[in-house]
Amino acid sequence: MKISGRRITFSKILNELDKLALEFTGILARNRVRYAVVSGYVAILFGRNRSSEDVDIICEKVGYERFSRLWREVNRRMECVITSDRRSAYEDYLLKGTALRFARKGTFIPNIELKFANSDLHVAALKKPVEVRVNRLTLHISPLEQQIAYKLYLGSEKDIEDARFMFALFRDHLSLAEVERLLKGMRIPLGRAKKFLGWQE
Amino acid sequence: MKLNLREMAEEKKRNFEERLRFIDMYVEWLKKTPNAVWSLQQKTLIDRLPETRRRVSRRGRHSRK
Repeated sequence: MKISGRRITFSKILNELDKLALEFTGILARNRVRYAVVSGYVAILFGRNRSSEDVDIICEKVGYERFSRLWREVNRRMECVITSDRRSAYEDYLLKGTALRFARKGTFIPNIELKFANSDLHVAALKKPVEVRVNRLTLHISPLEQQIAYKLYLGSEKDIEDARFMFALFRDHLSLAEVERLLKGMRIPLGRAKKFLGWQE
Repeated sequence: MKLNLREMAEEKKRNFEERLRFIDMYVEWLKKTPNAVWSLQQKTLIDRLPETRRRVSRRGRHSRK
């Protein structure tokens, strides 16, 4: 794995979740929609040995016309399993902060969970995403420091394990000051976070 | 049967701490293992999941009939 600045390059044998994520993010990129993959799938992308039912993606808020183009392209290979009505998908879901889910035609799982960025953390992730090049394909993820802190904020055992995995794998490349800053902002006691992350000075 | 909830809570905490330590060991293994090896193992695990789900759901439908 090669890490330089905000770019991570590596190769792997792609699993179905990887293929789904890369295909969907490829469509977002072709439509020039800014996005970042967040949450559990990011740990899986880098080798965490667990499965997931979905790939969480946040994207910039786009107008209905751009969304329609995106919808048409996605629907060639996948389908929205929440609603088949494009207008409703946009107005009743995305604009109201609710995620859409897209799966390969005729399936339900795994799926892509797509929502518009609606928090400061989301906006920060879209501004400075990490570019991951896997087998010469590219996808954007939210900054590793943010992934780790947010997983601790979510706080389930699975989330804490994901955070521990990411911290152990990327420890030498993280801005620990940034992790601390985010933990403080999320009101997570540093001592508790360090214990969960196995963070020794 | 009277359950010892304190004992159960301690066991749960211990299991969780063991899993966290295991993740460190797994990451060490991951770092020194060729990507083709670990990602093939991961693919085997992940790609099996939807198929298992389909099989379980088919079996459920048959048994309800």
